[in-house]
Amino acid sequence: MNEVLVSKGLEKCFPSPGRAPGERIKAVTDFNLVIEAEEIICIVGPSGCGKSTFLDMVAGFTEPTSGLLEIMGEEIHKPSPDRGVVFQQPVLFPWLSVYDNVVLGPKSRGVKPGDYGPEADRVLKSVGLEKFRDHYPYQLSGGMKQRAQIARVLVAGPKLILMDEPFGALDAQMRINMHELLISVWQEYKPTILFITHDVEEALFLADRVIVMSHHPGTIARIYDIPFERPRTYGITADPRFAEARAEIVELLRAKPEARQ
Amino acid sequence: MTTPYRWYSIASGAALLALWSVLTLSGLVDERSLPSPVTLAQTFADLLARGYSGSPLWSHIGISVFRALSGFSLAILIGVPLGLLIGRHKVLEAVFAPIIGFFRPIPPIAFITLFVFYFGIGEGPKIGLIFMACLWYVVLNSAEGVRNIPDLIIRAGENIGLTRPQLFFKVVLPAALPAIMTAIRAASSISWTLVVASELIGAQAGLGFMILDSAQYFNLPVTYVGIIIIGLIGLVWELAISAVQRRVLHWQGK
Repeated sequence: MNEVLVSKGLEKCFPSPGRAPGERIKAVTDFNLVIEAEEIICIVGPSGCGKSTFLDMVAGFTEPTSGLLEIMGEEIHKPSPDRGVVFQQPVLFPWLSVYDNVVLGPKSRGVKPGDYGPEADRVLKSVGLEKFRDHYPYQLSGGMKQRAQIARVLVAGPKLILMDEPFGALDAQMRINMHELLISVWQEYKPTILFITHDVEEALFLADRVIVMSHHPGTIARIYDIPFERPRTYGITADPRFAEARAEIVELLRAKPEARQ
Repeated sequence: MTTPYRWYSIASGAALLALWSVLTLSGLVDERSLPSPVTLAQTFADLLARGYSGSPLWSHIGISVFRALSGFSLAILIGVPLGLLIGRHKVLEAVFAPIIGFFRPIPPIAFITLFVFYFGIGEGPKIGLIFMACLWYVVLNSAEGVRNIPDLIIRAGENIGLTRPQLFFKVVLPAALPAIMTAIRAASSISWTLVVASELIGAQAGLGFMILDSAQYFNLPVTYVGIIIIGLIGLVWELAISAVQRRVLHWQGK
């Protein structure tokens, strides 16, 4: 198997305001995870459990306090298009058209127009935005903005796609559409995806493995293997195993830390 | 302005003009203290034909516009880059904060005598005064524009692999552009306002000179015509800058 991401004994501490100087809060601690190629990993956990802090470290936005964090054998120190992020808020560059948003990265890295042009057209088609390439972000709906973000990440051919509650702000119907879109994008590109959410159903529908995080300490409470075949359809939500897994995870998330072991 | 309301504006403008005409032409108000629109039209034609104080009207207009534009442009050229740097670097911000904080609240007119003392009565002090008054606005607005850029959009730029210079020119600069345009707009109206004040510094030509000089000789029609020309140029200038702003910031979708 191909290991894409390795996290060993990972820890992240923050200085804590209002406490004694030098005393620090452990946001993430003893975090051990290996993500294999082409896997979709969903992390669920209560808010403040450190799941976003973990994603920030993988993205290279913040450095770990200690422990090992490697992408394909290389230690992570700074952001890179190798680890493209789809943010929760629709973070597009509002002064650029959809197409220019997608190609800004490759263009700035010195990729030839003959190379990034066709690639941009391909990813825009994959996310269903080929007719909106010349639109500006303010002209797009929330769902379309998230599609544009996905296209911007895909165009770099990333080793790992990081998604930070990307569909959290969308309405239920749009969210289902985006799940189906993500599944079809995965079928086409077979990317490795680390997906953060607080929506258990979303995690079960998308993931090969669901990581449940605990709060205080911010670490992995349990890992569930999700057995459903790909390509998946919404039919699986009616499967009894789906309901059973959901009930179990919801129960685990509700449990008090001391009752968990 | 949307169409249904435009008629109210036209009506209020016309009403003001009508009131002025009635008051002056009927003799209710003394023509010597408030000239009638007819007198002003004649005065304007006269100024066009014969100029004022030995210079043609267009050269008075030209020199005022030149002074305002020079001070304004210099303030943009120096103020925008300075503001962007201050907004991005905490050290620079700390260095400049007390300087700007002290000078900004002082009305620029207070510096007129000092400017004359140091720089004489040439073009330098007039342009310098306008430059200084505009500079603070441009620097502060540009810096504020940079500080208000959401962290996430910078992260997005880092995430797609932009280098630091690329991040500055391709993300920070365009993201700060709305604030920069606001600064440019404010500076443009300040610069035009200050032309009259700067032409107090021993000017021999210019619209400010014309209205001050004519008022001293109780030649009120010329004073009024000068004020109206200043107003109209200010209006056209403002409209031009709004048009540029809409073009440059079309992506805001307003």
